[in-house]
Amino acid sequence: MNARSLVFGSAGVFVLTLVATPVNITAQQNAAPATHLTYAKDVAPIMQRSCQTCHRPGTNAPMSLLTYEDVRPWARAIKNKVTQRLMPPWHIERNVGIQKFKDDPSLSDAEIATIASWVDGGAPKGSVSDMPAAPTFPDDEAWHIGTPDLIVEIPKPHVVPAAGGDLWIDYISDSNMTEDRYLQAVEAKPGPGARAVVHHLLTYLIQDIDQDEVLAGRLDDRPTNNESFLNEFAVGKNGDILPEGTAKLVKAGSKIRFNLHYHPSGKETTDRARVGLKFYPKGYKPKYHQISLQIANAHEELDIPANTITRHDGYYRFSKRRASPRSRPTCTIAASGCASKRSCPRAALRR
Amino acid sequence: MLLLGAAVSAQEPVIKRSAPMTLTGEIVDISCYKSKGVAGGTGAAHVDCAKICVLEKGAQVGILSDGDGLFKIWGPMAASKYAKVLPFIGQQVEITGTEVTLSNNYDVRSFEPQSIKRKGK
Repeated sequence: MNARSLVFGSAGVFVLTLVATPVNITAQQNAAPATHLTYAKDVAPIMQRSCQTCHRPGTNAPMSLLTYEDVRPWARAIKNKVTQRLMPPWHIERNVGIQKFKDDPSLSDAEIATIASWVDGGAPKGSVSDMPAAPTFPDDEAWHIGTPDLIVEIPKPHVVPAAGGDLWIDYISDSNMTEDRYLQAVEAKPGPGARAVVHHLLTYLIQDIDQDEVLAGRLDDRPTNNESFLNEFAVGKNGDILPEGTAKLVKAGSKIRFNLHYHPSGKETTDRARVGLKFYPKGYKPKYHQISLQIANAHEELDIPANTITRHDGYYRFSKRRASPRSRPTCTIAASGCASKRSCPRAALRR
Repeated sequence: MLLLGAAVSAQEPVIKRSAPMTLTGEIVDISCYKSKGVAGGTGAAHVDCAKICVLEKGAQVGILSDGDGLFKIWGPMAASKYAKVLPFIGQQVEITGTEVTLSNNYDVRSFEPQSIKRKGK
């Protein structure tokens, strides 16, 4: 398995660690006797909290896990995935750094042991009276950031065939911005009815920038300094709402680059991916000016020979420099494949 | 029981193959199963719909196994719009063959059956 760890050192060093070592936990620890465990009473609450946000019809997950009947054919597979901590995906290092996150879907050792024991006990359904009420899920068309002031779509509908290989593709759209505005919130999402074919999508802001907006030592694959990371959609992710007083500047004439990963779902599907932008009021002066840096390629070369277990560590050091008088830059780290985006550590803000 | 010999396949390259194994479960239309779940996308009531999807819309066929989840049917039995497998759609079956890991594949697991029969027959 691969586990990606995000570690923030005390010296302001951002450490991106790729570890390719198998991780197994003792599933039987703290488990109740297997014969007492049922789906309805013991497993369904876990599935509702940690699995069903992604594993439900209409998403790009390969199966729904909404009901006992949905779950039962996958019982051994589920045990295998959760005991190795491959599912639910949660790449935060469990022994280092920040541990408490809002809406953390990861499983405790006791929850994993419960699932494993339930499977070992024959995966019984149990009494319907023990089944928790079915959860409700947000409308996929609802904007988590509130009603956007501007919605930018990819320039044309993209048809994903029923079958075939995965596709990564870029589209660039004009924002049609005629004046500079400060961004308060941003949310990218697939077009209506296209969630099943969009594995993820990244959005980037393309615009002319001033010298004090350049982040030194950039490691990602942006072709020019004019492009900065904006937002990512992936299953389970919502929009990004900046803290009050913090803003990203979106300039007149800016463009949006959409980087899309499409995955055929077995049914031809048309997508019109979009990103919603919500601005602070005109004339607003933020205290902090956010510039985003995507640290995706911490290695110049990543060569993993077939059938081997290797470990690769990447490091990024933030340079210290004074903020310009007109604004105080803040930064956001978005690690490719990471489930969450969060503010930089204090050390990194002393730029 | 239906036995198939080796046949030429123009499918993705196999990079790993398991030891021979037997799976039990239901033959399903993958697209309907994935979009509707067990209740809406499998079972006897869904057989006619599944056959239309496979024959006219190019849907893929798999086995929803008893415990190990979904495997896409791969190899000779996927030929000619799953002609050898389609009669079993919506039925509980036993298939014997090998799991194959395909190059550049991010989809569900794949299985190359050598034989298929109704469960208990």
